[in-house]
Amino acid sequence: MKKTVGIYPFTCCEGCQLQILDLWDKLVEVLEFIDIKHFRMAQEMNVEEKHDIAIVEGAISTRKEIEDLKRIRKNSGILVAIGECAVTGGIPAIRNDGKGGKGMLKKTTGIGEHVKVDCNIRGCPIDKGEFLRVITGLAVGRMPYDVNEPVCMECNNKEIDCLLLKGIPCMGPVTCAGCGALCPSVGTGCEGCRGMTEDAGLKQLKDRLEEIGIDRKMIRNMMERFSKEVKHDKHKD
Amino acid sequence: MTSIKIDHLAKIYGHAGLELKIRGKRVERARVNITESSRLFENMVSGKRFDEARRLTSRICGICAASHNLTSIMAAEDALGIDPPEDVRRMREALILGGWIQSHALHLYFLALPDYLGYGGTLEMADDRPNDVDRAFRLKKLGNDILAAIGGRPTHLITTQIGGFTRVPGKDAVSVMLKSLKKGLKDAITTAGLFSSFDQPEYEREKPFGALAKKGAYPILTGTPVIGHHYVDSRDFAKKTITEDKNYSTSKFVSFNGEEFMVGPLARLNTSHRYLSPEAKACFRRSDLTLPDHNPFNANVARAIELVHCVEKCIEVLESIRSRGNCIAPDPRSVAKALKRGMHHGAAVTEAPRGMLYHEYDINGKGFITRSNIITPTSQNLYPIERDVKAFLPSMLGKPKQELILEIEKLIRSYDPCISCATHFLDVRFV
Ligand code: SF4
Ligand code: SF4
Ligand code: SF4
Repeated sequence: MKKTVGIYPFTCCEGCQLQILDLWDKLVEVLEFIDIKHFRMAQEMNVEEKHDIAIVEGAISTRKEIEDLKRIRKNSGILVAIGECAVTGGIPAIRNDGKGGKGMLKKTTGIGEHVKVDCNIRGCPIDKGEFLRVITGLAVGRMPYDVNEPVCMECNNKEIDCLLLKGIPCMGPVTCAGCGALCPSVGTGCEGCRGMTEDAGLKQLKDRLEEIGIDRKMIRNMMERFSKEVKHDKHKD
Repeated sequence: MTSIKIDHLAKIYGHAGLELKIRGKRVERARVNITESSRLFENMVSGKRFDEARRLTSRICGICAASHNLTSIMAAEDALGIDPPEDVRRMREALILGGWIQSHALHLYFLALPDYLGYGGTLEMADDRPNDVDRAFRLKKLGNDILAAIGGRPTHLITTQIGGFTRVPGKDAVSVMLKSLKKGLKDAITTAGLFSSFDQPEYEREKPFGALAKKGAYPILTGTPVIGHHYVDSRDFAKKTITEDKNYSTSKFVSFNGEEFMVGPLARLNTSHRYLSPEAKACFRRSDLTLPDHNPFNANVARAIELVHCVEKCIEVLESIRSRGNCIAPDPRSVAKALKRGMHHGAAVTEAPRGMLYHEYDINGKGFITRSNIITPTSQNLYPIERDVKAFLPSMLGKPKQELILEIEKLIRSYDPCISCATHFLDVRFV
């Protein structure tokens, strides 16, 4: 039996869904295992539909979204959060520092705040290759494991000259690997988009950033951009 | 009296709906209800350093991420008085053309085409119309590949910096791009032919156009905003346009001198068709369009013609870059030296795929943004959308409700408000 899959977006830029769309030629191969029943880029959203796997993109920022999300949870076997918006609240959650908008919840959060999440795919946006691996794995009952090594390790493997050593701010030392050190490989500091490693050496990184002359306020901004916590086991049921 | 309420009509960084009230043959109300605020992004940027905004604002929209990213950079450069070399400007233009190609391909093939052909979605077309679906993915990929080759990845660019790029594509990468663009030109021309062949509803409503104008060029990244017949200084864009709050909407409604104006492909085609690339011009001539054209449904034809222009122009721009080495950004630490005591104020208006996009920042002497203002194309198109719905609706009265709703949705979709807006039509309720 093919697994049925539904993809649902909430408050976000839909950039993660775009990565899935861009996989289309490859998806055809996995369509042997899975049947994408609901894909917002192609159809409308129906939260009442039942799925083996529900893929949720985006943060939760309104009461209506909580209701829809709960229905999706009820109607699906495995629930996967894709992208930082869904996993931690991501960029939309930065608003929690400021004023909210009309009709919005006090806080914008990841979906784990409201329902149990079975699996997180990190990144802003997600890596489409990783998405494909995880989904094909899930279709045959294999759960992915969390990465807890820093991006630095990938720099090391790829022999990329360290930016931090050259005085360019980089969040790599405290950020979960998995992207292949994408940003450093093109000369840009990592902005931490795959979330922080568990034992992140924040103090050391802060000291280092201060040493290379980065403003304290800027350091705080960098640390806050993608650092919201993942709610893992809040909803045991 | 009939009321029609569509929740989740459109998604403009969130959710929007449509509310219609019809009495007899009169449409008493047509409202776009937007339930999520675009201003949240401005909150997010406040307190951030001038060079952080480019990656944050990129996350406003996954489809036109490149437009937000570059507009943000250009506004910061304007504030700091940084004037990058000509080659940087060209590389950016090639990059943004890639963004336009993927955005236009996405809209035309994934949102608009199923409407014309009577399918629920593109994926349903795969068996019957494999050529169209393959072409859709080829064009989408063409745009993505350019974004990735120059910007580091297709969504949320990483190489773009204040003053230039951290990395530019090598000689081989450039020739790969040129080759695929030359191949893609045929697909683009086929697309323009396809969209010119569809019948559009007969409907017209005159309104002023808003688009950048640039001498001798079809506006893409630079130019002067022109609304109706008025030239507006980029820095004054927010001051000169009026942004209004509506109690039923959290998005701003933008007007100029108390008048609505339309932005996007149809506006640009009307104002700058003279400067289309040769093949795009030929496609335009072969189409039924006669300018000025005030039928919003024709925006899809304009968009398809622009697609041809983008591919051809991208080849021209890439070939015109004198030295890729000139595109490398200065060291961020030297950029920070441009900061002086006191406040810096800067703004930029670019043409995003959906119309004029405005970013404005106040930056303090330490480089932190104290105030920002972002006006998106969709908020400029909200008045025209509402009023077109109101004006178009009477001709549809008497049709079955399902058909009526579909036609109204198509009208709204022709503005391409934002990707999901077009597919987010659900919970249609008749009250
Ligand atoms: S995680 Fe990033 S790319 Fe994905 S939807 Fe959210 S903002 Fe967009
Ligand atoms: S560039 Fe960044 S991620 Fe790479 S080794 Fe240096 S600090 Fe780590
Ligand atoms: S290098 Fe950092 S910011 Fe860039 S993709 Fe990887 S985790 Fe995300």
